[in-house]
Amino acid sequence: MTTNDELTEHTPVTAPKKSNWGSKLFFVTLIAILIFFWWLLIFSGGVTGDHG
Amino acid sequence: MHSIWRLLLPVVMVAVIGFGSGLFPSTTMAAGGTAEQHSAAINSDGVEHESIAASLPAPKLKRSDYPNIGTSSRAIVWVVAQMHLFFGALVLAVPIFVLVIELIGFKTNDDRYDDMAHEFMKISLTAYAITALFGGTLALSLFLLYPQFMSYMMQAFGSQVLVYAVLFFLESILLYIYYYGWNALRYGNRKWVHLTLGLLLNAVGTTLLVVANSWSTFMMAPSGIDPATGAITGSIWEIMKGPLWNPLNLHRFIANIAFGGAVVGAYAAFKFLAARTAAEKAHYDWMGYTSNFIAILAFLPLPFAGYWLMAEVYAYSQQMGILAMGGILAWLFVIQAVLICTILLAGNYYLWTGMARTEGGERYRWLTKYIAVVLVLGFLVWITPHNVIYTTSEIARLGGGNHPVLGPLGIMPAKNIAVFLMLIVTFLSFQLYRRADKVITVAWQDWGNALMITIYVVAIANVIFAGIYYGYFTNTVYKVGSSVIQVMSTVVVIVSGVVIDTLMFKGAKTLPVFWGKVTDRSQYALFALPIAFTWLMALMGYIRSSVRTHWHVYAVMEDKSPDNFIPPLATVGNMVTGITLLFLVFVLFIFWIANLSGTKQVPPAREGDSTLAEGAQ
Repeated sequence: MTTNDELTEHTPVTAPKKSNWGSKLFFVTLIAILIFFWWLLIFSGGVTGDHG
Repeated sequence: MHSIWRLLLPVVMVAVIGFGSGLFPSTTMAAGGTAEQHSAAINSDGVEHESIAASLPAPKLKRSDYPNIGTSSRAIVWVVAQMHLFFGALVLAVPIFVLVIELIGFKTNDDRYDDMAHEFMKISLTAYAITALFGGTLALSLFLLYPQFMSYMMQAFGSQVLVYAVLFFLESILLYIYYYGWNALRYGNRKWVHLTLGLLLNAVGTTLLVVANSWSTFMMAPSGIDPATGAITGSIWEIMKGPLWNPLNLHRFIANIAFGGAVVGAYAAFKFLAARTAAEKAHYDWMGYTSNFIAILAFLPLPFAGYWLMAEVYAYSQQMGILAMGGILAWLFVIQAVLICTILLAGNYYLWTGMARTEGGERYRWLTKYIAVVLVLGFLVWITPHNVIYTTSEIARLGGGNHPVLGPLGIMPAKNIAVFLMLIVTFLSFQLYRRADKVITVAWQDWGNALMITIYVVAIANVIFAGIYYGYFTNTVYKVGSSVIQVMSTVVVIVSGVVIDTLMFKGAKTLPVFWGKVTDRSQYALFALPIAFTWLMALMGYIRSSVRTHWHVYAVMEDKSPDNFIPPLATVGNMVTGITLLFLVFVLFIFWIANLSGTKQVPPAREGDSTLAEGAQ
């Protein structure tokens, strides 16, 4: 006779995988935004300084 | 009045047709460019070509090119533009620190942060509609009152203004989803989606800011044009990426955060004073503290961004720089000193009174009087003018045009010393406040404190020595260079202070903080901050715009309107003060609206209720 406790002890339990797509979405967006602002503000794009 | 509509109609039609057809390069002619320009834009076959139209010279205007509406066009645009800038600054800045607060709340699992961030957004949302209304009014005013200038600007920026319009739509959509989706997207991955929306909202808002900045900086230091004629020769990137663009971008970005922090701080103070329960007082005290923290933290690096902007202004045009800081506009910098010192005094005072929230604050109370002495002395040096208009007998008594003792305090080296020392001691107030509720336990705390004190002493000595030696005993080239040493000394204090404290706070015992246990008096410091910030923005914004003198677009398109002169300082003072008061009235309206949304009327008692109540007794 196997008790419930023994079953619990021996049956491998796999914890439900915690989904973390939200944090990935956030950080990918953050990186994309940083690249965008680098392109907009810092990357010269061939434009040379013009002091009039 | 009838003539206004006759003028307005073609302008609006031109704008609509221009937007619709994407033919902004040719709107100069449509809006009534000169005959020479028009003929130059038509080739031998009589066909207009966009490429030729795009290289039209800047229009040379006459007084009759400006509609006369019976009052000063400049005054109208001045008021509306400044109001739009105030609200724009508030609306763009608040979501930046709201996102950070929301993230802190999420990571620490503390709902107080989340609720506070949501409440901050409520203020921003109410202000958003007003921003758009002033923006629309500004656009109409400019097209109506300065049609030629606007058509030249449209020629220069072309379809970029459509990008601005699209961004504005995106900003509205994201703002509403971000605010109204707050509780629907509160936990787990949904919270990350909400934070991502906040990121996108800030990215769009900041892009709006930098796009609009490019219009202002083009007017001050045009690029991508032929300097001789003003004809557009460069691409949109060459036009946008002028020498002042990024300095202004940085300066406005930081200043907006400081301004936004100050305004929401006033909201918290307003709610604190009106609070009935201890829990409410604790909540709004904490909110006020956070707002002050944001405002002063953003304010500390602001002078450095200001130095960069002015250095680039000087590099672009010495004449422009000297007019701002050595000519008639220099007097306004004395008023600027009064306002900045008000901000520093109010910010410091709030921190000192806030130390009463914890028992640990007593340990540092003795230092506050020395910080106050530095702040007051710095204030007095900063407001000392260099040249004062004297009578002949006064000059004779003084023995010259400058006071023998106070004269040297009127020039920049003395003011630089004062400013940097004030910033250093303000950071000291911050550091003391942060330490007030902690008992440091690390073994090396004596060495850490000794290192921190040494850094303060060396930095203060550096600021004073560089200011006096390079400022008074070398030539002008070194005078300007000395400020770099002073900036670096101040930055070293701030950065090392943060790093040393972070390491020392490891394992520190935290003393209880009694939120709500502050004086009502301290809340008035929170009211002083946005008033001074608003006044300061109006004043410095005027200076930045006024350095163009009689040019719409500096050295390219001349202003021939009746207002093409620098107004008397008294007029400037009245205008700037009037606009500040107007903004504050609107802010009170926003606070009232924000309060109104949380107010519920008690349902009226029905007839049967009283009978039932009597029956129950």
